[in-house]
Amino acid sequence: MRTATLTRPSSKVGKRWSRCLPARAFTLIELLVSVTFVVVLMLVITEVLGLVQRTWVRSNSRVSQFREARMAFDALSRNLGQAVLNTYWDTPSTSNAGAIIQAATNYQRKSELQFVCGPASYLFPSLPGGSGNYPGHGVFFQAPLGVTNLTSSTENQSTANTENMTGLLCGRGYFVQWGNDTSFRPAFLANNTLVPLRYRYRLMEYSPTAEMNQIYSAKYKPITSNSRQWFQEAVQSNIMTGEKSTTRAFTRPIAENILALVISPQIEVPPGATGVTPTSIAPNYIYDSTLVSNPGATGGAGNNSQGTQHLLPPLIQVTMIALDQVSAETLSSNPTTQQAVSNVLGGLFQQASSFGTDLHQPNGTQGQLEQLLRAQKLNFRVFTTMIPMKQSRWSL
Amino acid sequence: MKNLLPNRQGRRGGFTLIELLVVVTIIVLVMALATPALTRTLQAGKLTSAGDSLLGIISQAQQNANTYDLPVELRFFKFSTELDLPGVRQDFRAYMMFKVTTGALTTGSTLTETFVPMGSLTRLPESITLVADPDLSPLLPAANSQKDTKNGSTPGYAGVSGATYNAIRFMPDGTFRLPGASTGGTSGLTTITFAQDITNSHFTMASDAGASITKANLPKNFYTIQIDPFSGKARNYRPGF
Repeated sequence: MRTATLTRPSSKVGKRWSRCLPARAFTLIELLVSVTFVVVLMLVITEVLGLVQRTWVRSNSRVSQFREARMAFDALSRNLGQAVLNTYWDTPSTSNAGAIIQAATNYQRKSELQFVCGPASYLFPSLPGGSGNYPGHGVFFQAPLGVTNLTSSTENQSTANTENMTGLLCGRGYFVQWGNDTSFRPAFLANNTLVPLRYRYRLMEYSPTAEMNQIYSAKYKPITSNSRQWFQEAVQSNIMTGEKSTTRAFTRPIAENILALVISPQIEVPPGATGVTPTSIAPNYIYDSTLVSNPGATGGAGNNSQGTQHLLPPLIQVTMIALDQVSAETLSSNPTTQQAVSNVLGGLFQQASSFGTDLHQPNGTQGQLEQLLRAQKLNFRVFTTMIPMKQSRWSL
Repeated sequence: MKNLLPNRQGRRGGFTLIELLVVVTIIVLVMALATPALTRTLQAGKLTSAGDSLLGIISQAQQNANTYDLPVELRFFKFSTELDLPGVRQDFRAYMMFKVTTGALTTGSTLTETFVPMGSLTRLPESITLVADPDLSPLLPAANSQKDTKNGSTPGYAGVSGATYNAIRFMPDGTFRLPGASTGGTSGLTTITFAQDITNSHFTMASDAGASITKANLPKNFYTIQIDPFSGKARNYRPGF
C-alpha cells in the first residue's frame, strides 16, 4: 500500500518534474549568495533613490526659498515707490516768532521729511557688532503706508480707531543684517540643541507705526542739520538685539538668506547729453535728500543752487541677491566660506560705476560676487528692478 | 556540516526544512531591522507634508486678507471624542479658513461679525496632531477655546457636534492677532489682542505617540510654525536642520 502510492506518481509525474526542474536543488551557499546579491542590489537602488530625493529637496527648497525672497522684494519695491518728501516752497530764512516779517527775496524748496540710501556705514554712525554684519546698502524713507498700533478692540474704545487710516505717514527702512535667531526663536527652544541656531543674512524691515514716527520730533528739527537721526533706533530697537514682550521691536526680518541689497538712485539721461551717466546723481550710492549735492556727485545741479536737495531720485534701481536654503545652511556651518563671503561683500558696492565688475557685466561676464558664489558652490538668484518714483517729477 | 550541505548527487527534490528556516529567518531579520526605520521615515514625511501645507495655508490666509481687505481667520478644531485615539489627551486635528465680515455700526447696537467659510475643513493626516501645550503652542491657549457652532446646523463647522476651536486671525495690514474667548460664533465683536512677543507666537505639530506631548517630553521630530505678530511672516523650526 505504502509503496504503491509512492511509486505510482513517480513513474509518470516524476519524469515530468525531472524535465522542469534543474538537475539538483540550490544549496544553502547558493541561496546565501543570491540573497547577498539582492541585498547589494537593494543598497544600490536605495542610494539612487536617496540621490533623487536629495535633488528634489534641493530644487524644492530653492523654489520655496526664492518665493520668500520674491515676496519680500515685491513688498520692498511697492513701498519704496510710494516714498514722499512733501516738498514746499518757502523763504530761505526761517523767521522766529516775534521777528519782523520781511518781504521775500527768493524762495527755496523745503521739506521736513527725508529720503536717504547708501551703505550701512553711511546710514548708521555706530553699528552694533561692527559694519561687517551689515553688508550692502540700506534705504530709509517716509511713505503713506498707514501702519498703526491704535486698533480698536470694542466699539467703546478709548483710543482712536485708526484701522481704516491707510494713508498715515510712516517711516520705513530696509537693510541686510547678519545674525542668529537666539532672540526671536520660540521660547521652548531656548536651550534646545535639536534645532541649531540659524545664522543667516536677513532682509530687515524697519516699520515704526505712524504714531511713533520720529521725524516730526522737536529734537530732529530742522532735518537738514539732523540728517538720519530719526531712524537710528532701527539697529537698536531690533528684534535681533532683543525684543521685550511689552514693546514691539520696529525692526524685523522679512526674508532670510538675502546676501545683499543694492540701492542705486538714477536719472534718465536725455539722448545726446554728454558728461552725464544715469548714476551721476549718486556715484557712491549715497543719496541723501537733505544734501545739496550727494558725495561724489557731479552735474545734475545746473544753475539750480539747491542741487538735489529735497528731491526724490527719479529712478531707483533695486538689486537683491538671495541664496537658497541649502546654500545658506552651508554658509552658516562653514566658517571658511563665511569668512570668504564676508570679506568680499565688505569691499563691494562702493562705486556705482563698478556695479558691473562687482556683480554682473552687461556683456555676460561674471562679476566678483558671482565668481565667488560660484566658486563656493552657493546657489543664488539676483532680483533686480527699476522703480520710477511717483512723487519725483524732475529730470535733467 | 554534512547534514546542512548534503551531497545531492543521489537526490532530486527541494530544500530541506533547515535550509528554508535559515532563509526565512534571514528575511525576517532584515525586515525587522528595516521596518522601524521605514516607519520613521514615512511618519516624518507625513509630518513634513502636513506642516508644509499648513504653512501654505497661512500664507494663503494672509494673501486673502490682503486681497479682500478683510480679516481672515484660521480655526483649529478639537473634537470632543477623539476619533483616532480615544482616551488620549485632546489635541487639534483639523483646521478651516474663514473670512470675517463686519456689519455697519449703528448707535446702540453691538457690532457683529459674520464668518464666511473659505474652502473646506482640512483634517490633519492620521496620527499627526497640533499639540495643545502652553509651551509648545502658546498661540492656542485653552483660555481662548470657543464652541464650534454654525447657524442653522447642529454639527458645527467641524462636521461633528461638541467640537471646540481656537482661532488665529490675519489682518489686512499684514499683522496677526488672537481672537479671545469672550464671545463665540457670530454675536458680538470678538476681543482681539496682539499675540504676545514673538518668542511665544508659535504652535507645534508632532506625531501622536499616545502620551501627552510637552516641553519635557519633546518628541524627536516636530514641526514648529512661528508667526511674527507684526510682520505676519511665518517660518518653521525643525530639529536637525
